[in-house]
Amino acid sequence: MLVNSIDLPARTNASATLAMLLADSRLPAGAHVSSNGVEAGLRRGLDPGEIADYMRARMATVVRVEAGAAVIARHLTEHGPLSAAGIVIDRLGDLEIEWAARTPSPALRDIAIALGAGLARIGQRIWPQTAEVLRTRPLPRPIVLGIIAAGAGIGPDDLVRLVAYDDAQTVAAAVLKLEPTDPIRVTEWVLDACAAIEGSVSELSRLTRTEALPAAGAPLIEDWAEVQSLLPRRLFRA
Amino acid sequence: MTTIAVTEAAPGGRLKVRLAPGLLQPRLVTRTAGFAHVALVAGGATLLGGDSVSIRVEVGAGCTLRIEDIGGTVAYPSTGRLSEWTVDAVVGDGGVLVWESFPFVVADRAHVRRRTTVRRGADAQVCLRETLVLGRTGEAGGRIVSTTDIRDVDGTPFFVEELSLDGGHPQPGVLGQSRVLDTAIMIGAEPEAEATPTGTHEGHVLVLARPGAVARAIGSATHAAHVDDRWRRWTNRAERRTE
Repeated sequence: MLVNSIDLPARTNASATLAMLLADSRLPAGAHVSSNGVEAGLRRGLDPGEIADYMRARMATVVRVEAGAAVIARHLTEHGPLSAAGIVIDRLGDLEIEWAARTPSPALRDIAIALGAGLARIGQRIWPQTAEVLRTRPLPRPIVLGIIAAGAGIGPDDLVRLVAYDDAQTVAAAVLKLEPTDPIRVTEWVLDACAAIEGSVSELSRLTRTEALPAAGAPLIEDWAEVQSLLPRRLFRA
Repeated sequence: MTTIAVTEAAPGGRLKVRLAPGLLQPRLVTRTAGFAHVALVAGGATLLGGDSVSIRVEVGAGCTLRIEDIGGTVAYPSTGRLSEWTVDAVVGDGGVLVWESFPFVVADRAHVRRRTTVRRGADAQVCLRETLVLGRTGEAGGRIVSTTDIRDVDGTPFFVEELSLDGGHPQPGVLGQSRVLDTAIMIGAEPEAEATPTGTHEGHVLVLARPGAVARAIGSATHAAHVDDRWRRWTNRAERRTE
């Protein structure tokens, strides 16, 4: 396994602990700049009463792509040939091209790269075994997450749940800033959305082939991402 | 299976065009040394539950093919039987494919699987139009899963998408309450810089990571939400290439 090819004392933490850490908004990764489309969506006709459905719609679309990319990145990193970071980096490059072909909005690709950079900075320091792959060039967030998952020891199903939870919680935090409402209700929505993707966790966590990356599209989410990137006064970057 | 294949002309001649009918009938409209224009006519009432329309398109190296649907398609209500609409296109090196289509209407209780696969040679250009309409007038619309997969012949992707829509279960962020999704896809060239800011009724142009772009308009009716202007610019430019 590539990540063990470097002689450094590797940190060992349980998969669940690592997932909690990476999903925690207090982690200094800069993830607070995203509203996951909510800010532009609310200006373009998304009703605050539809937020629970919006979270679920994301689970059926963009989350499948992001979680799939993370799982495949994890697989490619973990099963890369020993001491051959170059091959792993090439394969991750192919994965990035497949991910980009499923992410037609340039604004969504840009924010994924920006968030990936924030996470990669943390990853390289905390898990030095990921540095060789992470430092080569900026990668989108789901691929960075997958590399960290391989290096730090997060299982593929926890990884899917991490991507899903993070997605819904990002929407929740943004809604509470943009359209303040009962935060306990919003928390229930997060859990409902996570429950909605639970039936797909096993399917997504078994992905290994780059071309098998899910391609579920969401035209309004893509449109809102472009709208958001042009908003003159905005609270969130994405 | 309906087949439309164009190959290079003999010196001084016109393009060779091979047409084979299936559920859709191809008709040659015109051809020159480098260009062929083929119309696609429905052979009967398509698309009924259980129908499987399959269209194979081959564009030879250096040739330009324009396909034009004559009239739109309605996927009619079915008693649970899936209708399939499959397009498989290969465009050779330096070739151009422009496919001008009319709205594809998914009536209540229709259930459609639509697949478009394109493989493109070096320096080839592809322009596709897809106008999905959920429901006839007064209907909410049925279910459609529409996949688009456009790659180089070596497998490197430009645009891969699986859209899953159900008029009975609108999803915020996917189409919301809108019933029309008009899409123009242009692959193999950079979109021109737009003088006016985007965000008009024509929607945004999504500039892809590899040369190409997707223009989309989302709305309640085809006359209000369309990408006609961009489609015209993109196809004019693509067809000029091999004139």
